[in-house]
Amino acid sequence: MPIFNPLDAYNNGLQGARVDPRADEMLVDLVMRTGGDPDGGRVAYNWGLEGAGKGKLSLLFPYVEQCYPGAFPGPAQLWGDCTVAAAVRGALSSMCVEVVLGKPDEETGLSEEAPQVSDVARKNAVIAQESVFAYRGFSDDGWSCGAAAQTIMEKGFLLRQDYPSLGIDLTKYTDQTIHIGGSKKPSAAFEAESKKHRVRTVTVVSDVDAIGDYIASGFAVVFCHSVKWSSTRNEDGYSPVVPGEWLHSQSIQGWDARPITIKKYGEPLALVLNQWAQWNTGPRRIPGTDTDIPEGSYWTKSSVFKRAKCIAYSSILGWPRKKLPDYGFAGHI
Amino acid sequence: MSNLAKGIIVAVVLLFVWKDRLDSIVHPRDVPAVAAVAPDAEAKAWTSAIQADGILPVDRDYYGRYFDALDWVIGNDGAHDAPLIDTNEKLRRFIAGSLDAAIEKQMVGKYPGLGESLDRAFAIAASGVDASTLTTPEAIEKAVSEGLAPRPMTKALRERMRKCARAICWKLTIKGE
Repeated sequence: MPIFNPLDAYNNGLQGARVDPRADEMLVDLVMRTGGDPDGGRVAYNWGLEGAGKGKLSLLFPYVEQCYPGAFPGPAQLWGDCTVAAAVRGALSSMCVEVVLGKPDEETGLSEEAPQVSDVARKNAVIAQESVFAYRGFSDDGWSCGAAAQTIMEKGFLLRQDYPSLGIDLTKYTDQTIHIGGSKKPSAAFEAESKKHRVRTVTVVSDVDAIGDYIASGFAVVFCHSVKWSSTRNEDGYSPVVPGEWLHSQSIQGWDARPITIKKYGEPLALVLNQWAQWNTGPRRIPGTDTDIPEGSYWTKSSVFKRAKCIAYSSILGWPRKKLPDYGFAGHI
Repeated sequence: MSNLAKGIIVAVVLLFVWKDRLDSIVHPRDVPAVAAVAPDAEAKAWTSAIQADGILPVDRDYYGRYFDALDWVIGNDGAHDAPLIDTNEKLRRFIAGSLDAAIEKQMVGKYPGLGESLDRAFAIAASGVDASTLTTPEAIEKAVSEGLAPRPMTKALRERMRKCARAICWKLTIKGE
């Protein structure tokens, strides 16, 4: 079997991210039925997120690094499952922000605890994207952003660990694990396990500035697009859009709306995390900081997202936080 | 400048210094009083396990002032648009940090069991369990366990935490008895 090279595959027309208006409609329906709001602009207004990203640098990936060092970028895709690879990375970021900041869940009021995983699982991006892709209903690869978001909300996901009771070991992303489910519907036991950990809700973000507001508020944004980027970063870690087409999905892990950045590029930049491992080259240092962006990521102009379908991911269900050891008196008085 | 001028300046300075000290003697600055108000039955139940009898009066007064201040800080924080103490976990961190600043290291552990009983009082208060049901060791343990669950600092929880701090202040301070 030839080794899959995602860059070559997408350059040659692999349809990893497909347009599916019906799936988009079903996502909107699901969000509304479960008490959410599919209008990202309205959510940003109602939750007071508007303007959160204005004028500053906002980064999500350091929260993931704090919870799971070395989790990003994770393994390179082995076929066209970019929609779920991006979705789980987005979900992981939203979850790690919650965990690190002790942000209580919007609905239950409970805080979350980062689930423990092995070192191998951590380097494989913690969440098994195959467990979401398993629900697509066909054996080929490729899916839509709306369907992936709907599934991760409705069916949830499994962690990268061994599930002896399900007969699958998802610790590592492999040529075997990518073929679970598909045309064969996942078992009831599989579904019961994955439903324990769901993204509570998502919302569709159509306003470019609102993307920055979501990122600055700790919510990752996943997007599907047909744009192609250069595989070379400039001195700032920026990669320009180049002629061509990728039918692809990735996640946004940062937003740079600092005046110095806008002065140079004319608009805010968004940090895109690809899931092709180390596929691109060039400096990774964020100007004016001592922080490097993850391997496989790059900065792009925010206006690019006018041509993309962007979905913001909320908090994650599951993993109730451990109880406090005390209220801070013992050993201090 | 002549010696006479220098002497006049020194005399004036000394006069002002003496006047300031005299003012402080004649009109002593107010010492903040501990607002030790008798707690209701619920708060008394929360704090019933705290043993104050063996604590030296000077320490009781000091601890009492700490809890008086803690009550004020928790309340004042809640008045902000974006409170810093927005979970009980952050309250725990605040308490531990402020005690590190307020209590000298050699004083820590001077009264064995005091810290644990204070933790339990706050945990029971946080649990929201009906105080009238805290009649058995099992019920008390259950309330402590529930109160240690992480939770957001709602308005109701903030008020219970303040009430607990005030009850402990009353229990510890000499003026409260």
